[in-house]
Amino acid sequence: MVFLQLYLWIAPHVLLGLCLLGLLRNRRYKEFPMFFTYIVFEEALFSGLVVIYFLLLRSVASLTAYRWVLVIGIAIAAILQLATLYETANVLILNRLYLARALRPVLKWAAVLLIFGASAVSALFSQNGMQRVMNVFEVLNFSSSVINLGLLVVLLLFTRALHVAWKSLPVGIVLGFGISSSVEMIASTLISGSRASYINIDYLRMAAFHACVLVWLVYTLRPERKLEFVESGFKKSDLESWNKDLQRMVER
Amino acid sequence: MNIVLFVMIVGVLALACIVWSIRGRNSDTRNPNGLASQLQPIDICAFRNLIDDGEREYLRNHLFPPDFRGVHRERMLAATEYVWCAFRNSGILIQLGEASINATDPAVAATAASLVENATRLRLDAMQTLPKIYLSMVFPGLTWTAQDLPEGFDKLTRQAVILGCLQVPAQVAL
Repeated sequence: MVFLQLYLWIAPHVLLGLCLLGLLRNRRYKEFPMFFTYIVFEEALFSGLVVIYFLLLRSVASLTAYRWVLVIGIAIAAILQLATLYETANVLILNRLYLARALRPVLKWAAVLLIFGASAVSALFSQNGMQRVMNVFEVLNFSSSVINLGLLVVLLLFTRALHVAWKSLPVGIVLGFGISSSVEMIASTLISGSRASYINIDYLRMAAFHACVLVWLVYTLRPERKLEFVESGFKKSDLESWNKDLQRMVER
Repeated sequence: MNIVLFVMIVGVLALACIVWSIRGRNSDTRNPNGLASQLQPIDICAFRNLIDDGEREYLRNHLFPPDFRGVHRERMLAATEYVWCAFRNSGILIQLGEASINATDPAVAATAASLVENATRLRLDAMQTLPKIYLSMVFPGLTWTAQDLPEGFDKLTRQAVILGCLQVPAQVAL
């Protein structure tokens, strides 16, 4: 069990490091600077927490200090996650004026509703008996997960309805955040309901983050996929039949 | 207990929705060569007639209110068919345009980019027009306009034809 715990704590951050290298190598950090910053921050937070953990083992630091660093780190990470989502939306939609005009109000209202929803449900879930710092941690985790997940769903449904083409990396970013946020949301709910031990839920969270990082790594390293028919090119007969169909459309 | 269960179900459904959207996106591009054959013809004149304010006013002034409501409902139902058709066609044209957007010939790439932009705009217009038509079926007095839609489709079709014409010589040259 100790091995599993250590593996789930350390391995995702090693993989995140590879993600960083991948982004630097294929220069995609220029396209997604917020995602890059988020990964750098996650690595820095992990390094800080490891240092405090070892200080804790030597009784130099306290458990409360560790938890407060974790809570502040999660608050900053939540902001960076939102910024990454905005960046993804910007790459896909908001830089196209005509789409931005339609999506901006949708995203704005979705965010307002999600913030209200997350606040209301968080208030229901917060427990008086729990230590204050852990309570803040759970509320933060839950709220940011709800907001992330809601915005992701709105963005995906909107782009799917409009057939907006996605490049590989945005798909990976969205899928990764989707896995991580949904499991975080479920985990926070389970904790508030005291249905499972905290340790088991922590395993679930770490496993979800591991899966999320694996998705990011795969999508970062894999070359940008072009539409299959771009590679093969249209056959003349296909184009002719396409033309015929289009001509048929303009028949009056 | 209930709210815990509800939030858990929402979490699972949201994840399923994300995975479904991404899988759908991949399968959309799996068989693109048959896409062009899925394009449906649209009689733009007939559509324009259905949504014409003058026609509606004429019918309102010459028919009894119950008859007008029935006729108007039928006309709007027919109009929704056209809008759905434009919605589907624009989706197909977006995918066909995306296929040529990275073409080596700059003329093809520019036309494809323009086609994608206009098809997306049309799809967005169609999405916004559909609820208005359905509302108009319930409230015949409601005034709404979709005059841009036939023009948009007209322009889009011309662009698609140009793109097709540009691509055929390029393929023949290869």
